[in-house]
Amino acid sequence: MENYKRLLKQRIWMYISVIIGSIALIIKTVDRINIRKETGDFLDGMVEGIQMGLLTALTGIFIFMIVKYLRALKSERQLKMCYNSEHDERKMIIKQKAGGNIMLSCIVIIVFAAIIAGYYNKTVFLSLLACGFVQMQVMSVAKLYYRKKY
Amino acid sequence: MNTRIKELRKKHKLSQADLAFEVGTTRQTITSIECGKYTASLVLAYKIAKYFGLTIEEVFDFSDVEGI
Repeated sequence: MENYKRLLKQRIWMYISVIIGSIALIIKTVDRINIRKETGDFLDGMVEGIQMGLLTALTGIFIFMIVKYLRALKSERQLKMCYNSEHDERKMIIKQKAGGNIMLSCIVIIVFAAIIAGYYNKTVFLSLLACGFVQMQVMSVAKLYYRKKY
Repeated sequence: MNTRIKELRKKHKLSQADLAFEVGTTRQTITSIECGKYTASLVLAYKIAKYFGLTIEEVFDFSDVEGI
């Protein structure tokens, strides 16, 4: 359990640095929206809007995870439940069947690439986002199927 | 695969969540094992049997398994 506690603390620091990065990008995006408000029409803010949404959701998810890990670090029972949940063999089999860590890594990379591409090219941004979205749907359907099966 | 886990749980007045906590798994896995939807790995089967103070064969029913 000591190794797991150390791992959770490392993850908390990693999530904090990602949150800081996300907030910096949100501020940059807000700045761009303010410029567009004066010059463009409604649709011109679409890319920035989607970026804001993704970054806000990411920040929210990581804050939730940090709170979850902090609670687990305070209580031995919560820590063990967290550990059991992460190392549950049935969950691992379902995850493996649904594409595993590789699929999830691809989705994360594509979404991040989409966010960065949004600052340069709208078409690339939308294409990457659509690709990431389809991958997410395929992975979700596969997970639901195997969850029912096992 | 059929098991006696539900019967043993009731005998020891344990919930699925309690058993799952003790053997290092989740409640959903215990549910799936009891329903026969999921077959536990050797390690998990051993942990469950050991928790009840029994052998694996006394907890899990292998009569349906082909070739045995």
